[in-house]
Amino acid sequence: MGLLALLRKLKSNPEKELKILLLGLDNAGKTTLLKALASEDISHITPTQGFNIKSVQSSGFRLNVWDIGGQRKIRPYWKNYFENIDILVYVIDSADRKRFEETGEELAELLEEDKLAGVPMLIFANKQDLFNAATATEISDGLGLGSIRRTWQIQACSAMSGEGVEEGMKWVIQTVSKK
Amino acid sequence: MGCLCSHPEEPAAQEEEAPKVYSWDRRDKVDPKDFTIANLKDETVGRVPGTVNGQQFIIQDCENCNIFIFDHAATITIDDCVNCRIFLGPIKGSVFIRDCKDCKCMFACQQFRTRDCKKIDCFLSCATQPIIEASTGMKFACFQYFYPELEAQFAAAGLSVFNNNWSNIHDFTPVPGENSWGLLSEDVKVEDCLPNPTTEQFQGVQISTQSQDSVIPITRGSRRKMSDESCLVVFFSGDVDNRELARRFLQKMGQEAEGCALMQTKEISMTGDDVRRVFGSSAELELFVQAAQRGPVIGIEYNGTNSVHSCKENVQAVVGSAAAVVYTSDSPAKAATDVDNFYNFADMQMM
Repeated sequence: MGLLALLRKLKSNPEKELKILLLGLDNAGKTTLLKALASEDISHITPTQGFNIKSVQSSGFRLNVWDIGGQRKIRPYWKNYFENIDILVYVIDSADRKRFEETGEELAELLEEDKLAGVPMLIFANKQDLFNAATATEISDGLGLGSIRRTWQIQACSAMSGEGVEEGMKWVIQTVSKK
Repeated sequence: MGCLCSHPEEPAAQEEEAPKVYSWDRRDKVDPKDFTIANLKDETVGRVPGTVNGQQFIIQDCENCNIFIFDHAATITIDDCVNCRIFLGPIKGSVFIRDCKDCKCMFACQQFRTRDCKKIDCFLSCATQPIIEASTGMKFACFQYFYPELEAQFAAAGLSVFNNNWSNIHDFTPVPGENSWGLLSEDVKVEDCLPNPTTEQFQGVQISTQSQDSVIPITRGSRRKMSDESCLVVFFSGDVDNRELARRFLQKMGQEAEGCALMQTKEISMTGDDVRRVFGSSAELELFVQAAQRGPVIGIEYNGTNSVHSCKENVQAVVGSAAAVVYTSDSPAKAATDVDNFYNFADMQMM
């Protein structure tokens, strides 16, 4: 046992750590969401070339959130991050109707992954602040989310304004607390 | 709590909370047509200042069109356009171009993204590193445009005119031995790429494409340096507005320091520790530390023989006796480390 693990074990009330994976197409708003979770400035976010990690505390949990770049070219690398995931958060740009099909296909592939089998999934229908945004219900129906066989939830949000993000994270905490 | 919610005949909800009402549930519906340009051929179209006002905008399926959006927007997607000339005012979030070819563009944005594009010439102002994917024949130059409302539109979009990374492109899909992107030739004229609109709709917009009028300072970015000598000038926040000082300094350098070229500018917040790391050896360090707490700093790099001397002289000329806090590199040797330290710091903040 490493020293850090030993120290953690000695703590009377150890804080539970959760590994959360943020995935979704490029330009979905994953990094903006990550920064919103950490209450950081969102006015200078460079498109993610590799990945970003942030550790935030919430309701006695330490959430280690991994945000992985979403360009078509680098999606094959997503699977390198699938080990020991507690919650999968899939982010959709609700206003980019041209790519609903593409985001649906990527989502379907993730649902087939053995390493993610049974991992609860939160879907953020992001960018609700934009006029062209589809509602969470429209996205749910359009992508046929009703047929997902695992614990899942869709939450409308605007990572930019922060609205809806807290409700999504509340679901995450409730879901892992029940486990 | 309003009494409308508590009809006595209805059992109070114990478990289920009332569905939360979000701002998007309450907002007025907009007419998508007002914020969409689609399916046009051989036309000159667009929006005048005040008509987009921070909304999302959509451009798609246009051929041989001139499109001018003279306003700020939340985000813009451009899909399936061929042989178009497109001007976009400041965009708070991303501009995303997909499946377009043979277009000439002038964009200002926080994020620039392309996928599956061919032959796009782009005069660009981008607050973060621009990225391209599966795109070839991409050429870039510095944003160069003026109309009276443009500067306020940058502010409304949360963009600083001093933060421009137009020349530093990241390609997600580089092909060994091929250049998917490059810089536009320095002598390309804006009016040759993007002629001013002559239609009645835009007659009230007073456009200038002259370099000295541009709202964005025209930087050389990663173009070749003419000299081994550079100089870093940093305007700190203070009683005198540092943006105004920086602007006057750039103007004066443009008029009087002929051999000096503006390489890059940056507006950024610095903590006291940041200032100590970057300006550690300066005699006025504590003054800088205090000034940095009052607001973002503006860093400017000039390159050219005698640039240190020219910068010092022109800083003096614009500051005069005003109580302004300004750092200017002491010597060419010091300037080289100053430039590296300051811009390395700035790049690290851009994650």
